[in-house]
Amino acid sequence: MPSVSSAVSPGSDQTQPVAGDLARPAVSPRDARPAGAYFLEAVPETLSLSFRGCAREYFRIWIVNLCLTVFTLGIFSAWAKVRKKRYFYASTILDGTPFRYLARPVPILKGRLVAVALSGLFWFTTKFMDAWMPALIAVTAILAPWIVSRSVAFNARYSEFRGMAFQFDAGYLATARELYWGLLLPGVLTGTLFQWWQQPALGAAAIALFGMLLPVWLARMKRFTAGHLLFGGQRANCAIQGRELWGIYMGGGLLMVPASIVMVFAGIVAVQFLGMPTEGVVIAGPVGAGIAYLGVFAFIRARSQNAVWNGTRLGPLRFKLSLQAREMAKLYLTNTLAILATLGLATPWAAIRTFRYRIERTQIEAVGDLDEFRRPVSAENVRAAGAETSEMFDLDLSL
Amino acid sequence: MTGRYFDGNAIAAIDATLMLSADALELVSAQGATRHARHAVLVSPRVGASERFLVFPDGGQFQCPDTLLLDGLPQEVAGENVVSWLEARWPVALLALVITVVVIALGYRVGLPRLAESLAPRVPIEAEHRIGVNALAWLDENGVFRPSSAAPETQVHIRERLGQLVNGRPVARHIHVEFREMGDVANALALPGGTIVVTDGMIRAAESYEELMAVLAHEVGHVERRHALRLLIEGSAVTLAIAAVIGDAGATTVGTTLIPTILLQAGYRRELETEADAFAFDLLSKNRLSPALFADLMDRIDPGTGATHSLSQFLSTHPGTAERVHAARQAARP
Repeated sequence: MPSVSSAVSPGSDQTQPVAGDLARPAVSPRDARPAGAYFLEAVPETLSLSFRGCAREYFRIWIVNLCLTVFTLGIFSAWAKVRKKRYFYASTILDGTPFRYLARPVPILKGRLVAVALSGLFWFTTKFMDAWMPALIAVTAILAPWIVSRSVAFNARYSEFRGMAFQFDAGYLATARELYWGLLLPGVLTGTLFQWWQQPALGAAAIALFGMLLPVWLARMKRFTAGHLLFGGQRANCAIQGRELWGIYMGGGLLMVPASIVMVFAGIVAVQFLGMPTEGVVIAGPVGAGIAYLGVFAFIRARSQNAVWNGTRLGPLRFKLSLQAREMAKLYLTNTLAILATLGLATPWAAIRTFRYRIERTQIEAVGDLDEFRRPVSAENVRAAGAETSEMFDLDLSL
Repeated sequence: MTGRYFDGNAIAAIDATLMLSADALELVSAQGATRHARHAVLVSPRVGASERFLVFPDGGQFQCPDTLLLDGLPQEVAGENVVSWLEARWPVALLALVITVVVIALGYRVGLPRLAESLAPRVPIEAEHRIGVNALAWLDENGVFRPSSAAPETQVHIRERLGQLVNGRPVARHIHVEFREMGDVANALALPGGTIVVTDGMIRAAESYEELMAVLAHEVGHVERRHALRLLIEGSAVTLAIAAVIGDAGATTVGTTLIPTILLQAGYRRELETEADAFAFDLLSKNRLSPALFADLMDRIDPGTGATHSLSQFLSTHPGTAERVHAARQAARP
C-alpha cells in the first residue's frame, strides 16, 4: 500500500527512492512542481483504515480487568479503562500504523472519585434533603462546562498518531456558552410556560418546542467540539447544520409511532401463538415498544453520525461515514439479546462488533498534502511530560 | 528489526531498520543512520498482538512488530506486566470468569442485603419523613387516592388497636395511620417515615379488627425493618454494578440495563416482603393473635389459583399469595 508521502500530485520531482518508499524531501513537493504545469490538484487518495480487534482477545482482557475491578471494589477500574481503550486504539490501524492511547490511570482514578463523590452528593440530596435541590442544580450547572471541556481535552491530549497528539483548546467560557446559550432560552421558556399556565396542552407544546430546538443545539455542540480540536497544527472543522439533524430527528420521531404499533401488535400475536395470552401481553407490550425504540434509535444515530462525519474535515483529510440504519438496528438488537441472554458476558463481543462496523463504514480521504500536519511549535511534548505530572486538574470525567 | 520511522514533526513514514546492540540502538534509513543510547528509549506497552513503538527522546517513533526483544528495553508503562500476562492466557480468563460470577452472585444474595441491613438503622427515621410526606401528597394529588369514606369511629378504633399492637416498640412514635379510598382495591402500604395507608377496600374485606391488625403488623414490619431505605440502597448499588459491567457496549445500554435492574430489584422486594410477613407473624403471636388471621384475609382478597411458578413470578414484587398463606398457616401451628 502506498505510504502517506506518495499522496502528491503526479509529476512532481521526487527524491531518492528507498526500499520502495519515498523519503521526505527538504522541499515540499508542491514547490518542486515545474512552473506553468497544470495538475489535477485534488486527487483524493483513500487512506486504509481497518480494525483488527477480535472478540476472543478482548474478552480475555475484559474479564480479567473486570475480575480485578471487583476485587479492588472499583479502584482498578481506572487501569481497566486505560487497558481497554489501549486495545481499541491499538487495533485501529490507519495507513498501517495503529493509534496510541497514552493516558495514565491515576488522573482517571481521580476523575472517577470526584464523579462518585458528586453523584453520591446528588443522590443523597435528592432523596433526603430536597430543599437543597436548587442549590445543587446551580452548582452542577456551573461545573458542567468545566467537566465537559476537561474531559474532551484529556482524551484529545492522550490520543496520538505517529508521534502527534490531538489538542482541544476550548476554555471554560467558550464551553459554557455553547452548552447553555442554545438551551437556555428554550429551557427558560419551557419552565415558565409550565409554571404559569399549569395546563397539560401548553406544557406539551413547550416540550415539543424544546424537542425541536434540541437537534439545532446538538449540531452546534458538534461544530463547537470539532472546531476546537487540533491535530498536527490543523484545526478540524464540522459543517453540520441544525436543519440536517432536525430532519433526522423529526423523521425518527414520526417513525416511532407506526413502529411501536407494529411491534406491539407483533408481540401480542407472538404471545397468542406461544399460548401465554394474558401474562404474555403484559410483557409483549413493553418488549415490542422497546424493540421499536431501538430501531428508531438506530435510525437516528446512523443518519446523524453520517451527517456529522460527512461534513467534517481535518486539514487535508475528508471523512465519509456510511452507517446503515437497518444494519445498526440489527446490531443493537442482537447485542441486547446476547447481553441479556449471557447475563452480561457478551458485552465485550458486542462492543467489538459495534466498533468494527463503525470503522468498516468509515473512509478517510486525503485531498492534498499530508505534510500539512506538523507538530506545533508551542505544544508540549507529550512524552517529555514523562513524569506524567498529573496536573491537579488533569481529570477525565467521561466515565 | 525492520519497521517504519516517524520523526514526530510530520506524518510521513519512512522505512527503516533498527539494530540493537548492548548499549545502543542504531536506526538506519534512507536519510542515514542515527544512534540512540539504549537507556534513552522507551517502548510502548504490549497490547494484544499489535505492533509496538520505540519512542526516542527527540520525539521520533519507530513502529515494528512485537517481539520479546522489546521487553528488555526500558518500558513506557511500568508495572502492568502482570496484568498483560494474565490477560494473555485463557485459563486465567476462565478462572477470572468463575471468580467474578461467584463474587457478584454472593454480593447480590448476601453481601448487599447485609450491607443495606446494617446501614439502614444508622439513618434516623426522621430523615425519611420528607419522602413519605411527598409520596403521599403525590398520590393524593394525582388521583390514586381519594378521601376515605370509612366511618370516623372505625378509624379511631383501628388507630387505637394498632397503638396497642406496637405498644412499647421504639418505632411506635413514628407510626401514623392514614385512611384513603382507592376504588375497590384492598391494599395497605407503608410509606417511608412511618406513615401507613389503609384503603377502604381493605377495611371492607376484613371480617374483624384482628384481621386488619394482621395486615397492619406486616406494614409495621416494613417500617421497623427500614425496608424502604434498604431497597433504596440495594437498588442504587444494583444499578451501579450493572452499569459497571455492561457499560462497554455503547448504545445498547438503555435496554440492557433496564431489564436486569427491574428483575434484580423485584427479587430484593420479594425478599423484603417475606421478611415483613415473618415479622408480622411474630408480632401477632406476641400479642396473642394467630397468624391464621393473616392467611384468612389474604385468601379472601386474592384467592390464588395455586400457580406459583409462572413467568410473572419473576417480575412480581410480592411472593405468590398461596406461598404467603401457606407460611402464615405454618406459623399458626402451636
